[in-house]
This record gives sequence, structure tokens and C-alpha cells, in this order.
Amino acid sequence: MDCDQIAELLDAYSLGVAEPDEAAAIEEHVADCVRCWSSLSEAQQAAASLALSSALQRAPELLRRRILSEIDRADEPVRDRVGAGRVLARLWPVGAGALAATAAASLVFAVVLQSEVNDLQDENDSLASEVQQADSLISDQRQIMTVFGAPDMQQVTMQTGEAGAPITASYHWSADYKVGAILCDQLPDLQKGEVYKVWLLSGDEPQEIDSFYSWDGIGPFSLEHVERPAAGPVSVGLSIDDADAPRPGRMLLWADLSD
Amino acid sequence: MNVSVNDSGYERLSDEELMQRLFYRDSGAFEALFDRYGDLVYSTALRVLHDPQLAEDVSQEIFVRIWKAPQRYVADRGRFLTWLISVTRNRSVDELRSRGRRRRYETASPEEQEFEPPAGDSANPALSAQLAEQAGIVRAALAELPPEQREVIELAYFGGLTQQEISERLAQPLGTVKTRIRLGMQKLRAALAPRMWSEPI
Repeated sequence: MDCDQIAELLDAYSLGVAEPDEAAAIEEHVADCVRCWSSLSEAQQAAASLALSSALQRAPELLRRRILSEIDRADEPVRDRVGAGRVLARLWPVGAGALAATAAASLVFAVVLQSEVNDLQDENDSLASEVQQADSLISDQRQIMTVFGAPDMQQVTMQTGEAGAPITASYHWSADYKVGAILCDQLPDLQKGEVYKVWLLSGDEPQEIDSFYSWDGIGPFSLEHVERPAAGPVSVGLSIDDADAPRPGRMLLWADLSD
Repeated sequence: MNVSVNDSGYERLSDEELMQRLFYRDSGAFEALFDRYGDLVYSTALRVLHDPQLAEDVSQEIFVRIWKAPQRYVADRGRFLTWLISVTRNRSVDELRSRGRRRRYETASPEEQEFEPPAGDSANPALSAQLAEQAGIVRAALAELPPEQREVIELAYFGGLTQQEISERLAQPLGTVKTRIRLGMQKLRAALAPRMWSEPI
């Protein structure tokens, strides 16, 4: 069919009533014809505008809840998307604010020996608490993906050291969304008593840290705020929720907000 | 602690930008899309299906599909809202056909169709106002069409009838039906172009 013949059929096609052979001819033609593709777009917009002529009805509130519940169930684990063997750590809002505010800020990532801290896991956690933690974990994972999807995402390569392994680590953040994440690759397995550490070195005044999140493809993990000394590093304990999961060792994330 | 993206952040994003964020499983972006167009999708499905429960089911299926497979929308091929409405209409018609619910589709003149904005607080008053304005433009354009042209267009789009079925329904030759559709849509495009196509539909 030539362009004139195609033009005769575009409206029926846009209304969803073209014959199958006509629809096939249109689709084949517009794949190589910019002019007809543009005409088709206009026809499709006109057809879609018909929907606006309907009386607008409020969707039932239950529909919203049903949909959100279903997408929660359908959500894929983040590990499938970031690849096994990586560690994601979220640093918020300190990283986003401090790094965006000063070029002098830097991050250091290292694995060092550290004495084992007291077990922070409350052995009497209720089922409700576990569910809440799982919800929190999913929410955190989504926030991490928000960082990597942000149009304004920026990143810096972090210094690494003392690890004895070819670790790569980079910090990604979105000023618009005020979220940040640390992406680490090739982390060595931890032995008992070893920890991962992160320092944030910034010239800014220390800022309150709300939480860290860490995920290494083994998890799930949860984090508990251990202490916030007046000076010196902030430590955040990482405990393993799943007793049956392989235990890479106790890990700590440290953020040093001093100059 | 859960860190939530400020709601105002989503309001600043275009539909296409929100869709882009679904690739990163941003449920806040998904909720923003639903808040923008949940009513429109439901209303369109209801217009085709005439059954609130079926309209709910179809709306749910469409939004869940968007979450699971955002790549089905390709931004290079057109605006998100145009795509969303097309998907909604086509899925609703499929449902109608699968259930054999070929009820006689009654067309009403645009003047006769009562437009009632959704009750309660809108999640996005500015968008609601914009959609309401565009709805008025579309209804005015439809009202300008000769009744026989408007009828075949509505039977095709909302009634889910093929051109042959419309021909039989109206006892008119197939060629006449095709001509009415073509002429009616040409007039509709001409009427809408100056006022709508620079707007976000």
C-alpha cells in the first residue's frame, strides 16, 4: 500500500476497528515511513481523546488498595536486578547533603578487623516485628533503586584501602530525591571478627544519621542504631535476621563525620 | 527507618519520567501515576463494559501490568497518556468480547452525557482541572459532528463493534460506515488539533 491508501485506514486502525490485514499493512508501512507514522500518532491521539468525553467516575478506594497490595506481592527481589556478589549500602541523608554541599567531601571504604559487638538481635522478636522489618527492607530496597533511577544521579568513586582485595566502591546520590546509595563490588568474604567500614569525610558540620542499609545478596539483614557519640564515628550494627542464612561474619558500617 | 521521597518530587515529574522510574521499582512513582489516571482508566473501562466490578478488574490488571512490565510503554512511540487510554480501551473491548456481552450500545449526544467530576478531594487538583477542560473540548468537538458520524465512532470505540457489525446494526452499507468513520475522525482531529495537541494528552 502507498501512503494515500494507508492514510485512508489510519482512523479505523486508531479506533481499533481496522481489518486484521489492514492493520498488518499499516504496521508494516509506518515502520519505514516517518510521515505516515506521524499521521498515525495524530489519529491515535484523537481516538484516545474520545475517552475524555466519558463522565469521569471516581475509582473505588478499594481498587487502589487492591492494586498496591498486588504489586507488593509481585515485586521482584532487588538481588535479581543488581547481581549477586554486590553490596549495596544506603547512606542518607548525610551522603546526599554533605557530598552535594562540598567538593572536599570524600568517602573511604575498607574492610578491617573489629571486635565482635554484642548481639543486638532481640531473640524475642515477635512475628509482627519480623513482618515490619521485612516491609522496611523492601521499602529500603526501593529507595536504593530510586537513586539509580534518578535523572540527576551523581556519583563519586570511593577510596578503598586496607582490604587486601580489589574492592571497588562508589557513592551515588540524588539531590532531587535526597537519597544516596553505596555500591560495592568484589567484597571479600568476612571472617569472624571482621567488619566492613565506611567513613564519610566532610568539612560540614556533623549531621544526624537516620539509617544505613546494607545488602550483600545473602540477607536479609536489618540494621540497628547502636550509638551516636558526641564526637567520633557513628556506628551502626548490622544483625542477621535469617538464622539459616550463610553468615559472612558480623559487619559494621561506620560513618566518620569529623573533618 | 523508611525514607520516603517527598511527594512533591513526583508531582514535578512528567508521566514519562514516572514510567522511567518504574524500571527501578519506585512504588512512589507508580502511586503517582495511579493518582493521576486511576479515575480516567476506571471511567473508560466502565464506559465500555457498563459493569463496575468488571471495570475495576480491568483497571487493576492494567495497572499491575504497568508495574510488572513498564517496558511495554515505549516513550519514542508517543505520549504515555495516549498509550494508557489505548491500552485501557483495547483491554476493555477484549473483555467485552470474551464475555459475549454485546449489549446494545446506546449512544448519547455529548449534551446528554452528564459530566460529573469525581467527588471528594482530588489527588492532583491541577491535573483534574486540566483533564476536565480537555473533556469539555472533546465533548464540544463531538457535538459538532453530524449525528451519524458521531454514532459510528462511538459504536466503534466504546461499543467494541467491528465496522461490519456496525454496518449490520445500522443497516447501512459497509462502505458508508467506513466513510462516516473517516470523515468524522478527520473533523475531530481538525477540531482538537489547535487546542489539545500541545497539551499533555
